[in-house]
Amino acid sequence: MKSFKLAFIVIILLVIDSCEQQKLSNVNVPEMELPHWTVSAFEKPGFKNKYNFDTKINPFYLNLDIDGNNTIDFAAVVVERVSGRRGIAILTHESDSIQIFGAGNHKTLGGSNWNWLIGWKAEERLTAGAGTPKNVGTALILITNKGSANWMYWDGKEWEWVAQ
Amino acid sequence: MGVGSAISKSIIHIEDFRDYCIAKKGVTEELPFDYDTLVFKVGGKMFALCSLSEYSKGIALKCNPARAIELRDQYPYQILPGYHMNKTHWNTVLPESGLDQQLIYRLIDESYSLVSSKLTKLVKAQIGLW
Repeated sequence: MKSFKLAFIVIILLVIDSCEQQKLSNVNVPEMELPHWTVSAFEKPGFKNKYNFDTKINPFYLNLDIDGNNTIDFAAVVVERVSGRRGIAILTHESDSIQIFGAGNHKTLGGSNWNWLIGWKAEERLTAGAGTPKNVGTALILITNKGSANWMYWDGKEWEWVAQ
Repeated sequence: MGVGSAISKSIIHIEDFRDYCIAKKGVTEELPFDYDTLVFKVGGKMFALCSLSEYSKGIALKCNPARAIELRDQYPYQILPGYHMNKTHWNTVLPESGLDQQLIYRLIDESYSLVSSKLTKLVKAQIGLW
């Protein structure tokens, strides 16, 4: 009887595991590589049906405190499925709402197509410059195919964009 | 020759890396992104990058996509997909990992050649490559 119960539990566990694997294989993003807290937001149809993660840029996502409130936020390189236009998605820890920059969105910083983006990094300290507002959180340094960079950061009120 | 000197010979220090890159025709060095990322360009196009504060973590070199994969397979602990960059076209080479320094210099040469070969005739002429 005991061995029957044990076999039953093992079967149930295998079925549950199989369902989880099936769930993951149906989505277009490598969830296993994403921070756990971000998955529910990126599983929503508004993102999932329209965008893919672009893993050509290494790493394809960054953990950073982008809004300077001492919690880790998330930024990932994405492409709009229909157009193939590159951009980034930002998810702050307090919000379940993903902000898309580029990737087919016309009214965003950096234009609708960020195919100029060939690399990126997070940087807490930006080089001081005349008239440059101070970033309150960690800035994104977006490397362009022209060998220059754009800084993108949150100044406490809005997103700022500085072309280098 | 002791073990220590043998190891040191296999390391390319940042000064060696810089000297080798800057000696090439038409090369400029810049800090175009931030205070830390040293970038070498030929005709305004990047072919080598490194972090000034974390040089040992790797230098980024441009590479033909097929060759990049081949190199990563052959040297899995010394040549990695380009970090912070498009890994299709960039490798991160660990300069203090014991990789043969002649190979590192050859990879710098290849990156320089790859980028300079795609410059326009005008730019090539301006920097003396044509």
